Amino acid sequence: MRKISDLFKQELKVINIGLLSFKESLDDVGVKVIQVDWRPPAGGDEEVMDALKKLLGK
Amino acid sequence: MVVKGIIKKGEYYDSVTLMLVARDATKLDGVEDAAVVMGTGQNKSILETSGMLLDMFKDATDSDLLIAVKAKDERTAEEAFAKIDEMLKAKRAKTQEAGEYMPKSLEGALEFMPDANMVIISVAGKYAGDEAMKALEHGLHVMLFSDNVPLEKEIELKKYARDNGLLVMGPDCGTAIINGAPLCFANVVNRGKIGIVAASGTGLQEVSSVITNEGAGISQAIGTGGRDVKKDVGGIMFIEGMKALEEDPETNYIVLVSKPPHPEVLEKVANLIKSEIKKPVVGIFLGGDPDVVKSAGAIPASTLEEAGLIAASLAKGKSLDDFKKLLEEREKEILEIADRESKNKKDGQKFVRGLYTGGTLCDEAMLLSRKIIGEVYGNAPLNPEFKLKDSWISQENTFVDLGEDEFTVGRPHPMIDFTLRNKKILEEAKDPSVAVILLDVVLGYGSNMTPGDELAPAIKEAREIAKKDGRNITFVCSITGTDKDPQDRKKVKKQLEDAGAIVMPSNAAAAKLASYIVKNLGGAR
Amino acid sequence: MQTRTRLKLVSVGPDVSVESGSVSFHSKFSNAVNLILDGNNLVSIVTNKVGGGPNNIVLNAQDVSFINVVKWNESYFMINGEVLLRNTAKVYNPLLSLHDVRISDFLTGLNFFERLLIKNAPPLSAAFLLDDRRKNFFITPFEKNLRISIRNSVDRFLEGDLSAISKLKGLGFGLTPQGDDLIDGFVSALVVYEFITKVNTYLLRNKIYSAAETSNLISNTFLRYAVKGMFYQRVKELIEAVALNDKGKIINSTEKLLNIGETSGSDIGAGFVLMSRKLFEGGIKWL
Repeated sequence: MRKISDLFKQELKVINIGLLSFKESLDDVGVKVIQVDWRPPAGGDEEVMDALKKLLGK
Repeated sequence: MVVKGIIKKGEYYDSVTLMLVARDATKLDGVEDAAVVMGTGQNKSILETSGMLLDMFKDATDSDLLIAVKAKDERTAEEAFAKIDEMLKAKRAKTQEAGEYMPKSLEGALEFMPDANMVIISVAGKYAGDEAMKALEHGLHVMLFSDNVPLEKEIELKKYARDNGLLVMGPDCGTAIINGAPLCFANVVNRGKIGIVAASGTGLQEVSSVITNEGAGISQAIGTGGRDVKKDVGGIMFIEGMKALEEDPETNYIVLVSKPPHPEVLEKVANLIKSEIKKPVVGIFLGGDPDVVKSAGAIPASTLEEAGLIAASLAKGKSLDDFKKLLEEREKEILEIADRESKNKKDGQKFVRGLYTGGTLCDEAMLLSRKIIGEVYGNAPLNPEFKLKDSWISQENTFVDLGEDEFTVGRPHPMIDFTLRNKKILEEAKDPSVAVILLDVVLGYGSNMTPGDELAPAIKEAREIAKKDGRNITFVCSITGTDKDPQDRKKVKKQLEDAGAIVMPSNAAAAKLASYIVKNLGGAR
Repeated sequence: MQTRTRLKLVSVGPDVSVESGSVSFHSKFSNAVNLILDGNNLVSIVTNKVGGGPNNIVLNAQDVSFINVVKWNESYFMINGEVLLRNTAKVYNPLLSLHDVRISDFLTGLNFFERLLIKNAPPLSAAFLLDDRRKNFFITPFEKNLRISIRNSVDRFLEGDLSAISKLKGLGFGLTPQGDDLIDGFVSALVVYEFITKVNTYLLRNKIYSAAETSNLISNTFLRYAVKGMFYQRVKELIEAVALNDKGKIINSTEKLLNIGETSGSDIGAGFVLMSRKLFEGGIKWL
């Protein structure tokens, strides 16, 4: 049965979804971290418009 | 220039690996070009165009892997081959690196890092909850920085996490320190024996910084997000955090930091301390009744600074009387400074404007100042009757939390971007009734990297604006951070002092100083 | 962390033989293990990320590279000693299900897909053919020459020069080089074009196959299926989403297509976009 305190005995290995600065600070202190280039999942028109805006706005 | 080549048979790699390997080889000093491709007719033709088609390659087949390097001399070429070999070997051993390609989802990331144990999520609230759930289902602990995650989702996440022995730190959790690593907005602290569970981000920062500055250290600092200790969530993560610290052999002392929890949550906490927690517990529930903390079986502190000092004293095996003396000394000092500063004011100057980037720091300041100068106005005031009509326009004594929504929609957080606060500083300086401007400066990862460079000029300019009108404004600052922080606490302190500000050793001290000055000037309610 | 779950068969492609016969391992990746049966048939054991295919066996594992021993017959699969009942798996359907597709919908969906592709494809993918700014990703002299060669051959082919296909085959990085994947995209576009317009493209598809046939078993297999109108899951889902102009599904399927650490998905996508455009804009030169 896993416990939270088990985490304290492991080497921290992080997946960062979102702000890149949070990855950079971990890089600085030598923690293994991988950045996810996240996009919103299939969603309503709002997200699509956002996606298109970003693409068209370039 | 030499061109050297190697042929490998029966080795297959995906395109990204081959591209990255070739790219990395060309980055070596003295390597002009490199290619790692299958020996197809067309690839050979590109090698030819690039001047790298060696005779040995001409009979190679589609299933041969050709490695070609164009370098300044033999030795460099050999180095390049060695590097390429190393990288391909590592790939064969299934150690994968993301290189320049970023995975597009959690699942993609797990392909590259199958032994990940923590996910930090800071995407928009409406998606963050689902990403967090995915992470938990993969057996990963979660740091949920995002806010605007629906309450029901938070409860669902935390119940699942509790049942599966996982952490969910958040939503709206800005700070944590796990295994010594600073997550999101966190300071670089000493490693040591004191564990923290905090339902407040800047609260955690202030306490962990004080502990470090006193020479003690942090084992783990678990954030839960502010909503955790309210009735609906019922303190799920707060409780699990406490249990985890009790089980952790590296933690000897536990500090609890939050605004007063809901009575039901407080009862759970108290019961837990009485029944399961054997380690000493220090509790700072801002604005709460210290007797309640005592009856819960914890040592009460009345400020964040005090909580840090008590914990540090315990960890260093010192008597609690020592720091009490320290605080008494400091109180005397504060009163002296307040006396001095109230004598250099023009008639009419009598109010304080607190401009805060840290919500909890603002709360603590308001609680302390209330005891000295009565209720203050604000955008998130202690007394709802004192809510500013317009968050942007101060009134009498006003404390503003610039991290609140009305200031942060569409812009970076004020801990990172000083533009808004600097603008407010100049505005307040033009108000003839202002005697003191009170500022928090929060260091650490995730915060502005050059706070002194950006804040000092604004302070200088503001003082000059006031001076032209014959007024002297007292700037009181506190710096939440350690000497190990990337911003260099000592340097920042000097920059602020050179600009004419008074830098106090803690948020509590700063708030008290500002309040006493106001009191002396007759600005109390 | 991953808890050890029992292996399960998710789907088996209709072209996976009844019996495994003599099995040899061609190549192993975390997402796919490629097997050669009886010296010349390709069967791949893959993860859900890769998805189903005419000759794929999909397992519920996150990583399949642990597989060392494989055998099967009509009733069971034996993988590393674990026995899995064949009839617990779905049979993968590799045929497109498109009904009454409106050309305008398809082209709008295609446009949207193209923009996503341009933005999200890995740096050295053939997506540079869709947006000139991406050529800046090609840095070393070799990469630049490669890019120019791909561009020239693709341009010539789209002008109607079938011989350009033999210049594309085998060109580029990877298990299925970029040129091969582009050709795959071209052929897929022809299949879809025929579906929608009922114009017969069979002859052209086979001509392309003849020109493109290589000794790369994997590329060849993919292409052979494409020529027959049989699709792998990720491409199939993408095409269906584009044809319906369902933006949500397009986003989803594009992400899946690009999700593997490879350029294949984006290269097939680029080929598909270029060829579809050409066909619908009246480039009926070859037919």
